[in-house]
Amino acid sequence: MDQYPPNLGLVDRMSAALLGRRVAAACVTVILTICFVAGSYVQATVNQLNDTHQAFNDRQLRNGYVAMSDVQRLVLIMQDAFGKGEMTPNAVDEFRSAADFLFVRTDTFRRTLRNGVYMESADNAVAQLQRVQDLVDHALATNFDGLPTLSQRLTVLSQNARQALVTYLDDMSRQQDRILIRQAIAVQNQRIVIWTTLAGLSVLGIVAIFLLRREVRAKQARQVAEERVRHLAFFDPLTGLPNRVHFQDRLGTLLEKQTSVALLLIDLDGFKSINDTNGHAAGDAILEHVSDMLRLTSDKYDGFASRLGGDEFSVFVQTDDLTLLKCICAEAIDRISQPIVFEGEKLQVEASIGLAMNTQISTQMDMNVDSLSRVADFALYASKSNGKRQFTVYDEALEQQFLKRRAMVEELPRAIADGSMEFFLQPKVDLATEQTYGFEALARWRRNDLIVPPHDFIATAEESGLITDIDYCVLRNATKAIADFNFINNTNFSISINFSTIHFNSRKLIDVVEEALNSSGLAPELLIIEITETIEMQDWDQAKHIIAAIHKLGAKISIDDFGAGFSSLAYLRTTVANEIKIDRSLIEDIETSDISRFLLDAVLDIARNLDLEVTVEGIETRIQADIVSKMGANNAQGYLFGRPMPKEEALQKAIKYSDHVVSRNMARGIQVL
Amino acid sequence: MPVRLGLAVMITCLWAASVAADNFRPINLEPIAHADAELAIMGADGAELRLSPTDLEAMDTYRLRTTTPWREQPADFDGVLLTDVLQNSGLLEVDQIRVIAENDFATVIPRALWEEVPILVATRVNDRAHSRRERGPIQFVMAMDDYRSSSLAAESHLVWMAARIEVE
Repeated sequence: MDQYPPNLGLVDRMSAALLGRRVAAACVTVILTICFVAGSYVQATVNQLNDTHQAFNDRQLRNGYVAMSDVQRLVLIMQDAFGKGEMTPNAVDEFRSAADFLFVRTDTFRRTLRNGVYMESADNAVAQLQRVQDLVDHALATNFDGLPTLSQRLTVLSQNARQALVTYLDDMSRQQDRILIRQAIAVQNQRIVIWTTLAGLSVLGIVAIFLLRREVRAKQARQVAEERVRHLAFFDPLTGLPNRVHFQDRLGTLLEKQTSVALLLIDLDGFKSINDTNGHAAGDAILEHVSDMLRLTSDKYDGFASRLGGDEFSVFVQTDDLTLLKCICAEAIDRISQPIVFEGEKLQVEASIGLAMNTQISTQMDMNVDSLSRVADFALYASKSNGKRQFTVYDEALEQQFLKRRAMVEELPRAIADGSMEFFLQPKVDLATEQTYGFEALARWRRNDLIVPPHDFIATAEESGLITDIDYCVLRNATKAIADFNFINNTNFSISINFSTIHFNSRKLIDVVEEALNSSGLAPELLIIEITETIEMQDWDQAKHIIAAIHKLGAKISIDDFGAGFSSLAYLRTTVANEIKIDRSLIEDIETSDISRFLLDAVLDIARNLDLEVTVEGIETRIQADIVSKMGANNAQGYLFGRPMPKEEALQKAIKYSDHVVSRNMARGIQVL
Repeated sequence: MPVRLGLAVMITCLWAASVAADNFRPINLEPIAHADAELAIMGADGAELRLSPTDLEAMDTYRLRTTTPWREQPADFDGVLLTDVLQNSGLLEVDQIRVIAENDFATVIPRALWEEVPILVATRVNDRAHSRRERGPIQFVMAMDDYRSSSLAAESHLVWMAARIEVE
């Protein structure tokens, strides 16, 4: 038995049942049987009526009446002759003619009866007519000899024939009545059969139409849904613009044809701020506005606009006319920057554009959607870096940068794997004694025997996602190096490792920290994880859980660059940190600026109230060191105490004070960071 | 109109000739004595034309060998084509004619029938003058195959003792 989902309604269940193979076959069988039975019955009735028509037709009746007339004509001629006493030649001709009529009539009568149903009265009538015919032929043959006798006999025989014919006609009349009654009954029965059949077929027809209609509607609904799915697959539901898939298809086709194509990648400036401040509805309104503006621009220049995702859009145009393309970029930026009014409030967004043409791309790169998008994105990044609300054309200079960056991205994984990714150590000192108690590990890349400064590759590593591997590499190597050094030299130097906020979106960081501690043997409390805010923290809840887990491992948490990030105070509110590292921007002009001193004082006050250690970064002069020391800061880091240097050099310098460090750390109950 | 009429006549004649080639065989009849009979034809102009069997046989004559509903065995019927008779009287283009027998039997023959099935107006059977007792002297006869296959032909159209033709 078929099983139907429990959420089906009664009608759906009935539909499913009726459309089931067995039920449908049974219904068809019933319909065919009804039609066959009804058709057979009607055919039988028609056959019966045909048989009746064969057996009884008007010729039979006519034969009887005409034969009676023919006989009467003969009698009249004979009686007329008898009255006159002779048969005149005209009378003879008429008599012969009448005799011929009767002959043919009797013959016809006989043949007609031969083809029909046997009737005794009919046979008797024909026999009586034949007697009359015999007498008439005899009279003609004997030239009416014995006319009186002939007349008398003809009268008698004609009366017999008339009686026989009347009897026959009465029988025929009764049979006619019976036939009519039978026909009437047959027609009534047919009517019942036809009505019943029609009623049954009508019900089945109505049900079939109902089910068909449902099926058609369901099919239409499916088509609409499929059309919607198809639309969603290629168009952005919010803006109606083609989506990334559609963009890639169309651009790929154009690139395959090797036609000149210019790609504009557009990214909105300040969109997130509108989203956060005015809500997502406002953000959506902005996106729709941008879409409308880009659609206008692309329509004007016969281009193709699409939304690639988030606040990222694209337009490509089939031209390599740089002057025209610059006009298009400028026009797009102007249009997008037009303010809109949302719920009574004026909103405005700016845009940055990266422009790249397939005709300008180096032959070193494969020409496809991905490569063109990447160089346009590189140009867009340049626009963003150069101050936003502008467009940048991907040219030879940018291409050099791009190729350099690409080479770097290709080499970084190898560098991480083969140990070329090293780390330098910068000392962290106690301001009171100016002795080193720990280090901050800073990644350095030894590339072709040259040390690549961090600002040359860290940003690239972050963009390409390789920063995670670099940080993990530095974590493993630095903890191992410090642990080994502490073990050999009986010191207790701590080590601080920078981790981008990116890491705090994944629990993998916990496993990596645990693995680094276990494999190095470093005392957990000597490991400080510095949260370096390279991007704004996205998932505070997840970050909170990860930080708690790191605390549980025994490691410390430090908030790097405090005072310069997006959400310095938010970290204090959300996370359980052990240290804050005050950003160098607050220190730079502390010698001359009352405001800087006031800010530093306020931060130190916050740290004291929250029982946090403070390390002041960027101390480059003795005066700065004295000022921050007087203001109550305990620890510092900066060129005054030591630049980042190779670990061997840093540790050798620090070992001079190792005794102090051990005793000092021990005195602090290994609470020093 | 005359052009159309001529065309129709020509087509009819060609068709009749082709049909005659199948069942109807032209034949030259030697004069014989016929029973006293006449076929009166009321022309389109109201004039009455009376034709005896001998008068009829003055037209092109044909022989048809066939059975009839009253003859189990085939017989040779000689006579003239109804279309020739009607054309002779200007009735070929009428929609239908009424044929009346000596015993006052009457039937209507539509033009479609004589255009579909050749009808012989027989005056002789088996080389003898047609007698009344054999459904003569003038009898309308069709080839039995044509009679059976035609949806228009009926037994009533096989008029015997034919005496009169009128425009219906």
